[in-house]
Amino acid sequence: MGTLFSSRFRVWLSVLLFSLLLTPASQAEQAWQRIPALEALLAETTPLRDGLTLDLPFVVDDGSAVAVGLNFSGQLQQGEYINTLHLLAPGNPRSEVMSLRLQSPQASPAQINTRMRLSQSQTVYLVAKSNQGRSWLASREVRVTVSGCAVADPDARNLVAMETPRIALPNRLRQGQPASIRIMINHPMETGLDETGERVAEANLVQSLTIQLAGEPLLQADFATGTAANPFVQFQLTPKESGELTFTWRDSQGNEVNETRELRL
Amino acid sequence: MSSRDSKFPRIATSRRDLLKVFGAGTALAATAGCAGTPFISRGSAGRVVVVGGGFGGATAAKYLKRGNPALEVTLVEPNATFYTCPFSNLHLAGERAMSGIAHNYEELKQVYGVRVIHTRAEDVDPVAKTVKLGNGNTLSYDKLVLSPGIDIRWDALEGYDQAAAEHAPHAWQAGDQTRLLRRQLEAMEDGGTFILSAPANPFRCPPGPYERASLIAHYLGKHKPRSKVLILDAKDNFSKQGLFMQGWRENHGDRIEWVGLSGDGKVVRVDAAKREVVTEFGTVHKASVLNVVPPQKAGLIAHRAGVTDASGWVPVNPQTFESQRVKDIYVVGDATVAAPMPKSGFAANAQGKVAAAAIVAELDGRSLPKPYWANTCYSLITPDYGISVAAVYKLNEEGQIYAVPGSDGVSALDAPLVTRRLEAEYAVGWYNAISQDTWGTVL
Ligand SMILES: Cc1cc2nc3c(=O)[nH]c(=O)nc-3n(C[C@H](O)[C@H](O)[C@H](O)COP(=O)(O)OP(=O)(O)OC[C@H]3O[C@@H](n4cnc5c(N)ncnc54)[C@H](O)[C@@H]3O)c2cc1C
Repeated sequence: MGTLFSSRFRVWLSVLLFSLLLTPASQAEQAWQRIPALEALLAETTPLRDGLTLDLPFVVDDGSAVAVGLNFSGQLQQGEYINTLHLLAPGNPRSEVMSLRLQSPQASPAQINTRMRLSQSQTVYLVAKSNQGRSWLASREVRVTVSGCAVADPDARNLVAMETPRIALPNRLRQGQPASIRIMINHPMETGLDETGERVAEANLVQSLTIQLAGEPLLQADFATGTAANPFVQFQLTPKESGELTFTWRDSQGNEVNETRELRL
Repeated sequence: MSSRDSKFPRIATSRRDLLKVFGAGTALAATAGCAGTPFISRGSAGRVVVVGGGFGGATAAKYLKRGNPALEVTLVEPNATFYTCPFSNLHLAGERAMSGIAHNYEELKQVYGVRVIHTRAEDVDPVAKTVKLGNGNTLSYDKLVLSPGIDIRWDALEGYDQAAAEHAPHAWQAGDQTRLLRRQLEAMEDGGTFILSAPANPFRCPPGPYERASLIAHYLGKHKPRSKVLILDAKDNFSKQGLFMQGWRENHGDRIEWVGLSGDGKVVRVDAAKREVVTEFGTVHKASVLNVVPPQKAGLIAHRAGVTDASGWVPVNPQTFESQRVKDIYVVGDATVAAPMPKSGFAANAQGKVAAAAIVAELDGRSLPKPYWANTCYSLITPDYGISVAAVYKLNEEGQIYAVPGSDGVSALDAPLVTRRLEAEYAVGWYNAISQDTWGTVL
């Protein structure tokens, strides 16, 4: 070796080998076929990887509300658009986190943010589907720890029923320009499950948020046990024209909350 | 020099014995009460450069020399005086002078023969194994220890940059920022609102914001009784939450209001000149004194050395605290991803000992015992009312750190006042012990 490589190169090589040794080989790439929920979603298709990203921290101190970013920026064909996104956490007692239906080209599959639950370290998956039957898959490994000093006492939590809807629109909206909308409602999202997934109580979940613009469907979010308490959605709207935005939340108790906002360009 | 005898611990004769004692990283008690003589260098068994003279770095430098006095250890730290964040909240409350949180490097220099250079490390070349210094010199190393603490992510919170921090201090690195916040609190009118914006995890000292709010409420209660404290939080759960809230009710009535993430507590924009913040859903809050605890990342030198990952923190091999990315660079303290160990001074100190023991052993061609660590975070709700969280940490089969089940816990809710008073005394005892262990300071 000494005659073949300069000492500088040898050090580089050792730095490189060292980092290779310590990087855990990602088995996530192949593993999805073995996950029933994913298999069912992807059926016969071979999902694409390019263009879909799932943004999650590598290490999570508090799995009760983990900020997650969903972003599609892939190549689409003529007339093709992304119409559904499914977020799955197979390591949770139930794998469903949420599904988003983008019902209008005005609702973008880029830069969506939400908050999810992670009951343990695992690989989280995101599936995107287009109206032409193509699908994309993204995955992220996350380590969940409960940080020593960050432990909260469970009884400090203050659970409430569905109340206080909040909506934030940008001050200025322009035709054809993407603008970020944030939506949250207070709700405990009680799963009724214990850590093993056994049902111990009745579930009390916000099941859906539907958004319409000028009477036309824009976006529907279907929430599940993996959605964090106080369901939060942030997405980009590229408005065509002024109109009324309506927001409707429905929970499993049969309650409904409605809000409207005037969207003026 | 009899005072020196009790002040400074003895240098043990056998390195092997020391490793046995300090490999575990938490043997605070073992350093007390021994008599000894200053160390005189006898040639080098390896060159170790330590960057950062805080909890992690100063401890590593000292325990490297204790582990093997023949090592050539150089500590690079810009400041001649180090002010600790622990107990800086007491200064903000007017309960402790800055001199009561000040430490220096005299013990390291005089007793342990560490070469201390007061300048910044500007860059690291992991190939040539050199560190470029702000004074123009370059140091070569066999092993490098980085304990640079945190840097503020100035791009993460709209409107909060270095200039803004002169109006709305973070005071999350102690020193001038602490003094500035104290001056603002002193100048605050009675009836005003002190607002603290707390970040999402992970950040330095998880209970820190809540201790700060508590002690400032204590100060306001004594001197500006019509004033309020408002905590705007990017989280719904925080460290020792039940204990803090109980302590607030018992000591501060309704002076402290806490608004969590689900109550629209997440600050997304700061107007420092106006001392205003805007939350996620557009609520504007105006403060008399505004304290922004901003999102953080590992100190810049860690990025320069190429040891950080996309999260901005440093993944390490917990057995040794060597970087997962670059060989021969060890990183300890707040800069690392060591969860579930918290980003605390206690943890940084314990990690500094583990890294020192690992380096001493490796340069000597020996293998290491499995490390373990302990951590306690005390928080004061008033100077006489303390609470704590503690745990012991070990490595599992996969080599990851975990909190030993049953070892972790917080102070009991509804404990009698005498318990809280005792815990406040233990907090002072802890501070004195760790200051002595890290910098040799006798308070
Ligand atoms: C308000 C508050 C209260 C706290 N209370 C407690 C408590 O009660 N108990 C507890 O255990 N912890 C507490 N902490 C946490 C504790 O302060 C940190 O965890 C601890 O300081 C981490 O040690 P460190 O060595 O990683 O970083 P630091 O102690 O910050 O040391 C970093 C050092 O590196 C130096 N440095 C940085 N970059 C360079 C460079 N390029 N070249 C040379 N030097 C450099 C800096 O000047 C600094 O001296 C508290 C923190 C805060 C903010």
